[in-house]
Amino acid sequence: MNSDLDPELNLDPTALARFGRLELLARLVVEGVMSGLHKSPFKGFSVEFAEHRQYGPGDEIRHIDWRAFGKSDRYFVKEFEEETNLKAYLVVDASGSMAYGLSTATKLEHARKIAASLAYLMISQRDAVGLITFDTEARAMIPPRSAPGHFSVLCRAMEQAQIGGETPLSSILHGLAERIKRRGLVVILSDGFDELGTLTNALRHLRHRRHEVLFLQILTPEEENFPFRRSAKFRNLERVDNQLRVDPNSLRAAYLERFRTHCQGLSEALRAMNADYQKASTVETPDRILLDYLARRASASRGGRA
Amino acid sequence: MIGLVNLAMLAGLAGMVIPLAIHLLHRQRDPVIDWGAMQFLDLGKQSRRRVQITELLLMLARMAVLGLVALALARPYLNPSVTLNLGGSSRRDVVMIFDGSDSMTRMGETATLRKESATWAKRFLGKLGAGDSVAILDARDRVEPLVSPLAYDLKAPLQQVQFVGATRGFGSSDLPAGLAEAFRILGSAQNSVSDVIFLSDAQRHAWRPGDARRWSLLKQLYAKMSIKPNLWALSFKPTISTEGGNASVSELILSRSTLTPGLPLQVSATVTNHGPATLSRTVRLMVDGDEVPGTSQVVGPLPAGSKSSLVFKTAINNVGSHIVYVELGRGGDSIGSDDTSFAAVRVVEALDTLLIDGEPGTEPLTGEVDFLRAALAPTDDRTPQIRAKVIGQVGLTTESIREMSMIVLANVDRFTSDQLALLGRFVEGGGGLLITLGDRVDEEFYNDRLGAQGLGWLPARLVGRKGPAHPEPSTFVGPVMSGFGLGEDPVLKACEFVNYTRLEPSAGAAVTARFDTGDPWLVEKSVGKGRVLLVASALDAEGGTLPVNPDFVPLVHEWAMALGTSSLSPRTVSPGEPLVIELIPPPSADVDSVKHVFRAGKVPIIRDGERAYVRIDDADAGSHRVEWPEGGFAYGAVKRDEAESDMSELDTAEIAKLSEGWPLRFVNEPDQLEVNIFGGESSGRRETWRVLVLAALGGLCLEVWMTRRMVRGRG
Repeated sequence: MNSDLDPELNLDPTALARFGRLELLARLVVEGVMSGLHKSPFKGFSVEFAEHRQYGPGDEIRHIDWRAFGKSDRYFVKEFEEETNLKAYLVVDASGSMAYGLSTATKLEHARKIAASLAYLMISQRDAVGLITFDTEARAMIPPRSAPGHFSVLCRAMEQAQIGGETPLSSILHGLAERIKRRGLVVILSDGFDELGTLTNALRHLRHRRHEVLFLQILTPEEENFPFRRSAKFRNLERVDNQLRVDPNSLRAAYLERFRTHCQGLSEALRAMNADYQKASTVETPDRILLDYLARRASASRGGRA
Repeated sequence: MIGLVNLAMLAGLAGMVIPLAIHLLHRQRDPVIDWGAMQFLDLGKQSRRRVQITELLLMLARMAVLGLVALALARPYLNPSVTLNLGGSSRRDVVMIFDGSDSMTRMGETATLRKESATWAKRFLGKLGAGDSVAILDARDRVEPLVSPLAYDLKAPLQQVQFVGATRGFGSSDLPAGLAEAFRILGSAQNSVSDVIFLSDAQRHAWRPGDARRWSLLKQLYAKMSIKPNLWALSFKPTISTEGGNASVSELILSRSTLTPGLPLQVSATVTNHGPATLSRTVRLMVDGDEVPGTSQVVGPLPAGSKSSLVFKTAINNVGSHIVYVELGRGGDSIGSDDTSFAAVRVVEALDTLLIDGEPGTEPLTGEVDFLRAALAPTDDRTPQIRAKVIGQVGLTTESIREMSMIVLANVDRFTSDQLALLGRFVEGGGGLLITLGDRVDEEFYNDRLGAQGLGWLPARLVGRKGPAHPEPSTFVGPVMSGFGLGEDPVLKACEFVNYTRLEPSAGAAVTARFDTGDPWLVEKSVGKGRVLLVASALDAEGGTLPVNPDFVPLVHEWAMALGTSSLSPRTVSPGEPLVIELIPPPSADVDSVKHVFRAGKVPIIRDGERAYVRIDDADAGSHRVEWPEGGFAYGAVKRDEAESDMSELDTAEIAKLSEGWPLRFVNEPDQLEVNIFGGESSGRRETWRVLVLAALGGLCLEVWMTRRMVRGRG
């Protein structure tokens, strides 16, 4: 993990020792976010039955399944898998391009913070959160759970995520769409620097499976503004052999136009498929981004959206 | 043909590599940025190529701007052969060389040639513009810079041209020297076009066509000049009078230039008719502005090219400096300045001589110097020209030689060291020494102590006695002796010497007379400011019959006058030679300059012990008078260059020779020269720096536009 701590969080080093750094950051973020929210934005899902088990001393009488007793003349207690409202999948992009961060933290770092915050937020609301990290291929796949201890599991997995090479995000999403049977919320934390058409198809695939999709596009200010003046060699973070000598002055306009077109295309495509898009610039703090998103989502819900 | 004014500025072309170096350096030092969003940077091969081409063009534009600026600073010009007019102007440096000789005082159509040339020059100056520069030289015997170095403000040149028009020429003109000076001035020229204009009358002598070596050197100098000037010789033609001609008086030859009151002075001169017509002129001798009565005579008719020799005699009674001149009467002469020839003379009261008798006689006329004393200063002469005092050898002391002009050492055997030192100082300080050799002379002592090994002022080495012999008048030379050798049967030939000392002249000595045996009789040498005359014989009756010869008295008088006045005699100097005028008696110590009447200027006094004199370095031909407050005055004279009287002009072959190998062009029509200079040939040489500066500005605009276009991007 890199060690550049956000000074605004004013972390106690001992706290950092007890909890994982990411865990702590996420808690702090979410505390802030929660204080600004009145009720959970994630709701509407039923409590889900998991299995029966034989009654034992100490079990609550109200959990006895009387219908099963009627059939088998034995006491069975209804076991519920989790008391969760939602199954959420955090898809964290750890491909090469996510390693970029010049004036701010890297995009991956930022993505981790946001993902952890979201995870904590949702787990604290008893939503089940799973995690998929990938670089050139899917690296970690943690199924969603809502147990409080699960948060630490997620954080560790995220901390272990290493920057990889060139990744087709779309193929990962396609794979995910195929694997997740139950519909849930798929939160994608990526810069989205993929071919727009294939990426859109993959997202559409998820939507087709009736998943909720939230695309958090992680961007740095350099990528958004291209502030370079002197000519430089730009080396591809995903492919070492690929570098380009560029005179920023002569290329800026073209770059910005192409960049904005891409981002706009992505957000429009998501909007068209009724999915959420949230830009998550590395200059903005995770709580700000979450608040923005949650506020937008709340208002959208009030407007009649599920 | 293309040339460059500032060749060194081409070094600036090296600056063209700066953009290239910056480009390469930047390429090398480009920082590496690890970047995620590569897909938006990669514009595709075509776009990349377009960017590269634009960058290349931008770099070339920057290089071109620097190159054009360097080229513009080098100021290239196009020669006439390039007919393309690029709109550049041609600023010029002009050096005008006025012929300052006498011949320019001849009349042209409206005025003197000198005035006509000044009028043309004024008109020419009026046509010059801002940035043009002018220098003006007056080429006389010496070149006088009137405007030098080049003046960009034409006010001073206009004034000097006016001055030239208002003055007359003197002496001759040395145009090659003027050209050399013009080349020197143009060495610092700034403009790309330069012209040297001679304003002359095409007189042959001024051009010195025979001085091939000097012209060759000038051409070599020309070849080395970075900006080669156009050379124009504008000739102003005199209106030729077919009736008259030009007569001139040659340099005067005086029998002596220092004399005593009443002593006869003989002035010889030659009148030459330089043509074209036969002429008759009156001629007369003038002293201090007054005609010497009885000297006026008519010369002629003299056919063109012939000469007539004249001899005048006079005597001057007043002590002091005088100017003597021979003058032709007025009459139809094209040049007046060569009608007079000057010489300065000095009249002194009397000469004091000291005679040292090496063998005094016991009876009258038996001593070594008895005849000499009688001849120089006869006892019954109350106003002698020469005062003589006789002493013995032991009487030779500092006291005895005071105020003496000449010392005679007659058959003296030897001297003490003090006496030798005294005699040395006397001669070197300007005194005259006459040494006669008799049988008492210790030859070894003379050779060792006075000769080349000792003091070095003995004119010859003594090598034993010999005899008998007679003087040989045909060998008499020099102003003193030549007169005695004239005539069919010179009187001195009759005298006989019983014996004499054989002489071997030393270096720097001159034999002015010999015996019929061929041995030298008289040997002269200059020592310091004085002179030593060594006579191989004695002057007494024992040695020979000279004392009774009828020419003995005039002979010893001439010797005394020549030796006793050598340091005071005014000398007529040649043109260009410094004129030295002795100030006698010297002005008091608080006077530091004299008034130069001829020029109305001051000349500083130079003092050397008791002697005082002035030196005029650039004296024109003619007479010069200086005056000082105590009523003193003195004359000096500079002779004319007689070749200047020859009005013949350069012929076609000479013009062709002078013009060979460089662009010297002789032009007879002033208007034509203006056309040549301003309208035609030479002005075709155009500077192109403006075009280059405009191109550089264009390049700069292109660079700015391309840079902005790149920054804004082109999609």
